[in-house]
Amino acid sequence: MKNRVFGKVDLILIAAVTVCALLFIFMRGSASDGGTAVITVNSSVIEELNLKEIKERTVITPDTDPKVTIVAENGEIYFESSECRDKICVRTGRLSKPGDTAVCLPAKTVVSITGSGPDAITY
Amino acid sequence: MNKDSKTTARNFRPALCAVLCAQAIALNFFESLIPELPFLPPGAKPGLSNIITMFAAASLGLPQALIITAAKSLFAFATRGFTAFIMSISGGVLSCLAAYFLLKFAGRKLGYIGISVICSLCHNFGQLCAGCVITGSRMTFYYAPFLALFGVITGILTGLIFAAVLPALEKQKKYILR
Amino acid sequence: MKNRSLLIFISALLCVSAIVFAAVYAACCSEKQSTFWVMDTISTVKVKGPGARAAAEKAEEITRNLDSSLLSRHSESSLTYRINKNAGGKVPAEYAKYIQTMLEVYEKSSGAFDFTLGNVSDLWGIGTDNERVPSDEELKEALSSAGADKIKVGDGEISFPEGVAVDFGASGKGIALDEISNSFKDCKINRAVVSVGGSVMLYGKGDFTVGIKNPGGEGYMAVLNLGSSFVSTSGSYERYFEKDGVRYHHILDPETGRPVSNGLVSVTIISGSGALSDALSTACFVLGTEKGMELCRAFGCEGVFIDGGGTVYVTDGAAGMLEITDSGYHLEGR
Repeated sequence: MKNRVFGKVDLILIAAVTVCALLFIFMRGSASDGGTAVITVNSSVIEELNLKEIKERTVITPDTDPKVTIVAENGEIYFESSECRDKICVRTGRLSKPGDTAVCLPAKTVVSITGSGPDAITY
Repeated sequence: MNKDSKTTARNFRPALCAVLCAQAIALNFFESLIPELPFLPPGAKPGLSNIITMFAAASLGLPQALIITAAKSLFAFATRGFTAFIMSISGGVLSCLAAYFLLKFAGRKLGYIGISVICSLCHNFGQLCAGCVITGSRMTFYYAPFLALFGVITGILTGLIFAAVLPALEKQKKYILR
Repeated sequence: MKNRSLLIFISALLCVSAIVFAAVYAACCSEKQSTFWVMDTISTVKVKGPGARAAAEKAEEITRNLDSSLLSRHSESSLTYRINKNAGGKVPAEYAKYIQTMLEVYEKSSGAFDFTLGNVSDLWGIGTDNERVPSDEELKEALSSAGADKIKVGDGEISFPEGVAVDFGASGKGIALDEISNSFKDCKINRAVVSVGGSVMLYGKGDFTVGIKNPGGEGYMAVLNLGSSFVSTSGSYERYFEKDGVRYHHILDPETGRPVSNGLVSVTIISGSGALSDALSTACFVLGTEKGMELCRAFGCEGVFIDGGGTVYVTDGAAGMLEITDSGYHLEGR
């Protein structure tokens, strides 16, 4: 069995990974402000909501098994409840900024906030 | 006497493996009792059972280590369902392989902490890929940088604990294998 | 010594991974956006994919060429200018095809989409310094010599009597989008959104959102959720002038030569062809809601009709795509 617990190489490795991770986080953070929440079930988009335009509490229950209940209000969207076992989706909390994501794996449902508004305007 | 000790050693290898499986599962169970932290992706855990896997990879061989990984995943399957099983095995196998090869070939250069960090990252990456396949959405990779940072921290933690309990694990092995 | 070689190995591994990651990221996610002025309106191009830059440049080039060499009614280098001047002439195959598509819409809309009213439009002078309300006699005279039914096209040649002025104003943008869509097939791009003066092309896999401009004000009043297709809108709020408190807009009724007034303020058409959605949006605006929806069905397209009172009428397919986001508008009947 080896003796060394921590050495130069370990330090370099940790530093490199930390720097890369922080870089990515900052790159993401400077993305444009927006407010479209996209709900995807099984790889297809079932709903897109402009969070800024939502004035009253909107409840979405996609046709999934286990069933999940998604609520959008006050510029936020979140998994209110779920029949799945771990309830990781519910524990993720409220999403409001672009990039924010909550996932329910058993229900194959992804809720995430994308950039700012429609792809184009027709006039 | 030669034959005796050889037979004895071979007979108790499965027993040692079973003990280690039990310990890995116990660690997993205790981890699941830890409450959620706000800034972390939900479901992220310190991965203490990795200590057992690393020990097995270093001191018993790849087959043993993979058996322990499978045991952990089956436990997840039995208690938390199919999704948990997929997540556990995808991260676990990748991490186990990384541990084995690093311990064998990384010579004396990479310390336990470094190896532990890499195992942690592999585990997270395996889980992210599995999550992406299951949901079919690339948005799961949004978690990647945060998980990476978390993986570094837990890797360091696990590595330190590993170094600390290593003598105890060796002693346990010697005791069981006689 | 082994220390260093391991260090080098790990650094190399990290570098290679970083490079691979960056390459994959660049390939999938490289994006190009550009804005330019052509066909007397503003166009924006948003393309995603490895060939994004080339594709965006191509889109601009195609639109400019199409306008200056084929479709423009006023540029002397344009084919349309010349055949209008000479009451016909030799035309390349694709031009004949454009004319034939427009003729089809003309026929199926019972003449509501008449693209030969160039001289009539000129009388109104909307968008120029000579905006005026023409007299009944002027309109009658210009109308009598116009009429798409007078066009004969075929075999690389087109001919019509004097007074017919072929005008691509209502379909040129859609035609440009069709050409761009064709050229994109050879480019390596995954996704593109091109808007030429409010006519939109959605290209590539996935879902898109297109906002419908609020006829009564700023921003958009509804959003369409749809896959790749073409979306065009005709509205009375786009080009107009006001005189003595009356608003005169640019969509003319082929029978009277005057701006259409049937209560509609905006018609949006969704279809699989740019030229078609453009032409149909004008045709349906002229026809009004009921006949307009029938025309949509005849062409297998979807439509959204908005009247001055804030009521929105939709074809069946459009109902599934539409999401009204402004409370000043409401869906009829559903």
